[in-house]
Amino acid sequence: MSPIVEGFSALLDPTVLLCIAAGALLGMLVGAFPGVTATMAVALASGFTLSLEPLPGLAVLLTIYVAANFGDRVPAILINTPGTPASIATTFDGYAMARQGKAGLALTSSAFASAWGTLVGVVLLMVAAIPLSRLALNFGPAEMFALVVFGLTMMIGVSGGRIVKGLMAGGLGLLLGAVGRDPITGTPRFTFGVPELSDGIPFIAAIIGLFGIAEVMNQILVHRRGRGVEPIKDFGRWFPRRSDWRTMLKPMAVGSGVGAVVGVVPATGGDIAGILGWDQARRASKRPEEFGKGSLEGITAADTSSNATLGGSVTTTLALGLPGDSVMAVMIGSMVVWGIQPGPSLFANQPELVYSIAGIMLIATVVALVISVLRMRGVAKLLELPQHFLWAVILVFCMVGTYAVNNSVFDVAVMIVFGLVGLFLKRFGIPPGPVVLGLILGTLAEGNLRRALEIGGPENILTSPIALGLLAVSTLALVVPPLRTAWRARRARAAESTTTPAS
Amino acid sequence: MADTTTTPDAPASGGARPGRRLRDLVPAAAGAALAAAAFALATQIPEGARLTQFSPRWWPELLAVLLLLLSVCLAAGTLRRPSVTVEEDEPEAATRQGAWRLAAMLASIAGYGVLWYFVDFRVSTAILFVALTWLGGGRGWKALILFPIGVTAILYLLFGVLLRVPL
Repeated sequence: MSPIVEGFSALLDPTVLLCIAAGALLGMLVGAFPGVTATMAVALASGFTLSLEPLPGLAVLLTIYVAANFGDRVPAILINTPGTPASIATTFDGYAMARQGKAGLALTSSAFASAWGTLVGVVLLMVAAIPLSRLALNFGPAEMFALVVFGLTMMIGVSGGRIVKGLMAGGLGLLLGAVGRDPITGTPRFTFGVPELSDGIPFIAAIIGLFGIAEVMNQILVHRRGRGVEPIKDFGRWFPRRSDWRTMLKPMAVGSGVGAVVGVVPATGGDIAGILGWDQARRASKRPEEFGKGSLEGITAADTSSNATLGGSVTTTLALGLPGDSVMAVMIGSMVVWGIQPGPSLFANQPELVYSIAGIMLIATVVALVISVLRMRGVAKLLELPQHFLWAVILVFCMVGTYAVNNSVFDVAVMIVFGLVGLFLKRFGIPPGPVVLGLILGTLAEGNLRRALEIGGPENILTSPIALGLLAVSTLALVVPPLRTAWRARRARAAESTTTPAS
Repeated sequence: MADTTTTPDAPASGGARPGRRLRDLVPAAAGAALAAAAFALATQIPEGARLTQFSPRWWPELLAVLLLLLSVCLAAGTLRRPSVTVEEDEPEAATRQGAWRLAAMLASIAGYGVLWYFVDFRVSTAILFVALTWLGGGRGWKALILFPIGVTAILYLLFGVLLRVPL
């Protein structure tokens, strides 16, 4: 049977369809709650999906991933607060449209743009995943080590001007990844005689702690009464007219292109793509002055671009073993527990998995679009729910979900400790993404580096064009942002000094 | 539903939101301490039969040195920078009440861990929900009776019945 038929027919199982429905509802809900990110939701869901078979489990996680990118537009449009970081650019024009009495149009056009963007990403996944993994199959230890460094530095490079702190976070993650048995000799390291640590720090517990518990702890710490913004109540007309569709075509095309490219780059997600897509569409628009003031083109470009990253992120994650964004970093943890090792050999051994995953994402997109168009008013009601219900639910679900992974109280303790570590990182401006990435990729990095050096010494890395290229791009990703900032600061100072004498 | 917290949330004075320098120097100090501890612990890892060129200590020692260097870089960069700079990623200020609430919630969670050993999961979890909701500011029978019982039932159905987790 062809992999395409085999992959899609695996989705006919009613359990998978049920999981997609459950994931879509959950994803829409978590997306709609500001403060609950898709990363956090997938981390939370990992706790209970690990008891499922891999495909139904993947269906839940991937659908949450897709649907959260629809639900998060609701608070972005109605209260000017992104439900997840991926909808930051939605607020630029979405809230302005809502204030002009066009909230209904903003919500539906955003949903259609998001659906289109996701579909473009899924097509990219189906077309590019297998060739990319075939290319990566030729990678030896030197190239694999360089690939891990590339993934890690890309995540650090996009962590917003905090390069040293990002590097420290990556180093901490790699160090935590060294806990357990040595990948080559099997010698126990940093286990302190605790049997639960001999397989390393439990991924899922650490991830839930860093993304779920830490976020809730921070919200509890900074919460103030009566600070919420009153949601928009006047929705106006809901469905785009023919002229609106015509206006949306160009930004959809621009957003699709930007999102697809950004999605493939490891560790960059919908937040960056949304802003870049919005900016590119503004440059290409005949009415750039309307951007940021309630432009239909603006909201369309931002949402198409941010959602077009999903397919690219999944492609990079599954084909190369490098997380496409932070949600994928979390999902890798679950996949490893299921025995699915993302990386070049995955699609060589299981090509049908590409089509199953693409199928799940397609169905999830359709379901999320239908929910978005039909039930936006209902989702909008959620914004009025008090935070304390959410905190209690997240805290208890995190604990029980983590316990359920291995029926282990030790894992729950690890989760709480990582929650406190995550809170420290958050309060002191250290990105948690590189810690998770280092924790997950640490063994891969160490094993491949040691093998590469054992085989041919440093020359083994320095004579490989692919490894050198990846390491060069990694270096640029770390060096260029601070240099650019310094250059801009110098230019600003120069401009200031030339204007001061005149004034 | 309105938040029914009775005491106002006054922003905590002083260190509730660490200053820019402190926000760099504390992680630098923590990173250096962690690196030193990791290096010391790494030197105690058994070398084994040395069948390969690199011992099991090599990678953790390398990472510890790297972390130490980065911590020094962060501290040096902070001390050299002018003290008045624009903070782009400043965290929202913590409130004194938020800190107490968080401490009380963590204590409730620790208490729940103990209670679970002695009392049935459904009862102990419902009690935890009551405690967390009350600490979060929830009041009234819907928040303190209906919500805890309803969510505990869902939790038990999902994990205990459907996923057969021994709770």
